[in-house]
Order: sequence, then C-alpha cells, then structure tokens
Amino acid sequence: MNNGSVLSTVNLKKSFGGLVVAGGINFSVMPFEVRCIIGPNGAGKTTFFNLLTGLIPIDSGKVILENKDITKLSSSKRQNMGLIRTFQAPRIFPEMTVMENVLLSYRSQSSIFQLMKVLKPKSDVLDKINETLKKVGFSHFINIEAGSLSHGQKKRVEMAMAIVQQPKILLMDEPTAGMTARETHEIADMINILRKEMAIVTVEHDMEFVREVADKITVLYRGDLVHEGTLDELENDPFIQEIYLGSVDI
Amino acid sequence: MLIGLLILFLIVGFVAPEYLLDLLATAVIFGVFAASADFSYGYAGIMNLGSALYFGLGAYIMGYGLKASANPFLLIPSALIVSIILSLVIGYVGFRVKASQTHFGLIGLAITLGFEQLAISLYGLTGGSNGITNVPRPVFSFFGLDLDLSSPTLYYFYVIVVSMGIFFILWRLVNTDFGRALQALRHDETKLETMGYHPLKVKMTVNAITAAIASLAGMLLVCISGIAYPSLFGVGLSMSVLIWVALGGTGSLIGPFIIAMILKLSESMLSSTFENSYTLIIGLVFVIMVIVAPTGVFGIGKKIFQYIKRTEVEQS
Repeated sequence: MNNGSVLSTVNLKKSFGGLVVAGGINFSVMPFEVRCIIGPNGAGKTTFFNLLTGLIPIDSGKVILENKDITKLSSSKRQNMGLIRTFQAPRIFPEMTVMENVLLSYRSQSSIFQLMKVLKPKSDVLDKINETLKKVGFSHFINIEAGSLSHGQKKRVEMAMAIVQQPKILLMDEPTAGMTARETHEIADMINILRKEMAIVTVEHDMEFVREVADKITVLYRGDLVHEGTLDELENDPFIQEIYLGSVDI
Repeated sequence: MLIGLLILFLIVGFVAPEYLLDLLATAVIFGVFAASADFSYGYAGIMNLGSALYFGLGAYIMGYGLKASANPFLLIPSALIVSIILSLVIGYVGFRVKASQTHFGLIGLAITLGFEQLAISLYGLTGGSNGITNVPRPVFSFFGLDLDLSSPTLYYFYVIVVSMGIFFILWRLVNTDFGRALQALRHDETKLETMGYHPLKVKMTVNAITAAIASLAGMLLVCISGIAYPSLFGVGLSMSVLIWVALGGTGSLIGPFIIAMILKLSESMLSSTFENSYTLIIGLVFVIMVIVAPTGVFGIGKKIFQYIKRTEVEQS
C-alpha cells in the first residue's frame, strides 16, 4: 500500500480458535499524525498492537512500515526499523536506575561486542538521556531504582525508553491509565510536542485526552475496524454513540 | 576486593606448603566455575542443568592432549573452541522456544548424561570408568623458552593468575551495558525484544562465555588431580555448582566463588573424618540457608554492611 503512510495494515486477520481478534483490519497512519484507537474492553486494541509489533503472529494479511513489508520480521527487527511501543502496565526494569533503563534502550542498536566495551556511558550519551527524560517531565530521581517509582513515573520512564530510540511511529498502549488528571494533561502536552518528530498511535479510554491530541480516531469493536474519522464525525455518529461509547459523553 | 583477594592468594603461595597449594588451587578453580554459573543464572536468569558438560570436556581434552605430549598452546584454544561450538549448538536448539528455559536446561542435562556415558563406553579413547590417569602438568614453550609448571607452587600461581583474570573479566562484563542487558533479559525477555535486542543472541553469548570458563576450569583442574574421570561430566557436579550459587548469593559473583572455595576446602578436610555424613551435612546447610537466608551469604553480608552504615550515619 503506497499511500505515503508510515504504518499500514492490509486485511490483517487473527483469531484464537473461534474468537476473532482481528477480522481483516485495513489501517493506515500518516507521518506525524496522532491517532487514537478507542473501543470497549475486549475490542482487540492491545491485541492489535501486539500484531503490529510482531509479539503475536498474524494469520493472514500484511503489516507495512514505510512501504516495506514487515509482516515476517521479528519484534526486535521491527523495532530497529522505527516501530516502537509502550505497554499498558509499564514494563521497565525495576532493579536498574531510571538512567540505566533509558541507557539500555538507547543502546539497543549496538552489537553485543559494543555492549561489552562500555563500563560508563560518555557524556554526550548522558546528555541525550537527560534531554529525553526532560521531554517526559522527568528531571529528578534519575539515579534511583526505577522499581521504587510511582505508577505514573514508571510510565514516563517507559515513554523515555521509547522516545530515546527516535521512533518513526510510536505505539502507546493507554499512556494515561492510572494517572491523575494533571498528569494526563501533561502527557497530552508531551504528545503535542513529540508529534513534530514522529507519528503516534495511542490506545485510549480518556475522551478528554483524545480530544486534546487526536488528529483522527479509529474505533475497534470485536476485532473489526468499524469507524475511522475525526472526533466531530464520531460525535455525530449515532451508531458509534450507542454501541461503542455508551453513556460516555464526548 | 579483587585486588585484595589476589594479594592474599599470592602471599599464601609463598608461605603455604605444596600439598596445601594444590588444595587451594583446586578450590579456586571450583570457585571460578561457580562464578561462571552465577554469571549465567544470577545475572541472565539462565539455569544450566548440565554445566559440568564443558568442565568435563575441558578436563578430558586437556588430559588426553597432555598425555599425548601435545602443545598446551594448541590444546587450550582447541578445547575452548570445541566447548564454545557445542554450547552454541545446544543454546540454539534450547533457546529457540522463547522464554522457556526448561528446554535448554533439560537438553543440557540430557547431553551431559550422554557424555558421561560416552566417557565410560569409549574405553580406548577415554580410559572408561578409570578415566585418563597420570596426566602431567603442562610445559609451555614459547620462542625456545620453556615454562615448566610441574612444580605445585608454580602451577598454583598459574591457576591464581588465570582464575583472577577470568573473575575480573566476568566482573567487568556484568558492569557493562551487556551486564545490564543480561539483567533485563532475566527480568522481562519480551520487553527486551521489543526494545530491539535479540534475546536469542544474548542468551547464546552468555552460554558460550559460561561454557568457555567451565571448560578452562576443567583444563586447570585435570593437571592438579592428574585424572579426568567420567563423573566430571556428571549431574552431581552440575547440581553442586548450582547449590554453590544459591548459597553464595545469586548475582554477586564473589559470593558463589567464596562459597565454592570454602565447601571444596572443607570437603577435602572433613570428608575423611565424616566420610559418610559429609554430603548430608552440606545438604542440611543448604536447606537451612534457603529457609533463613534465601539471598545467600552475599545477601547476609550486604545486609550487615547496610546496617553498620546506617548505624554510623545515625550516630554522627
């Protein structure tokens, strides 16, 4: 699919036994776009991320990153090409410091022999990491164990780990889950700055957040992409209102 | 700490009688073997149930080669290459199933049992149950200069220098970015993969390093004991090394090194007095340690150190 998109899927299908989790999804995101994926619990949003990043093999269809078919590539190779993700529950390394977590992520492109050489990172690498941590609003506590941080701080560390790899497209699974209203607003501000450097796809439940960041919204339901459009279009679609958003006031 | 240990070992080398130097060198060799197992299990989370395979392989190749008057400069790299290639094959097969260490552990166990049986069966090559006996100590010749290590004192210094060198390499490795990748691997392999690392490559590298060190330890030992015998491949040794790691404290290197040394020294000294009950005593110590100090000796030491530091801060 050559439509200038940074990431797209063609008829992506996946089922577990009789349960269809992706029923032929055609999805595409343009460079520097912020896309929010919404849908009720069990709609297949996180599974869709897992299929995109190769954590779960697909049954059929294609995943295309900048005109390259990455369907058969491993998760790590997809990452090396600029498809980076974060997880719903932050996955960081609790025994390491915040700095070491981000450093480990920064060094992921290095060969094993290069990794074996470095005892202490050089000052330009440290500057780069500090700069990235500042982007996610994290300028203190960089030398404390990441396991001792709060949930919101852990999420920010994971975001820094993703951003430091300079993704072409960043997939964020519920970046504001478990965060306070103020933190949610800060994350929205952060995304609005990051969108100048990369495309971003988020799975999100918080409609205020969606309103603040999304260029376009994709609605998933039972493994199907049932709607794609702007927030205005979504608000005026009675079908979406009734089936997918229920009593949520957008 | 490492330099202190090295100085201590060197001083002992000048004052202790020769028979004691052989005992101490043996203990240091098993200490290095335990540290290599800790590198694999304590840092990367890879439990190798058949680490004695490489230990035995090193001992047999060195034993066979030295008896055949082969040049140790050729023997050592040959044994290392054989061990590394075997470890890469086992690693590739065992680690292919992501996040399942069980396959790898069981394959290692099966192969080490197979090698033990082979060592018994291939009588012509391995000497059968008796093993390869009367293995001489090596003489290194370079540029017409002979370094004869047949004296226990000289061989002791050789063991100390090689062992401390290996220990330093391990210590350095765990403190590099590679060491951090190993800790990450142990904690969350999927996350490491989604960050762009290749967990299979990392695990195979760890396994190859561990295999090379175990093999080198086997090579060092055979020249002291003068014999390579089938149970060097045995499950007993593979399990013992894991017990040393658990008792010493996983992820510390020095803990398993010291515990392996202490247990090996006490085994040599106590097993003649408590011939029948020695293994039972060690088993009981292990059970008690697991209950009262699951973090091992290193963990206890760390807690005491932190307590002293805290008390000092409070007093000041």
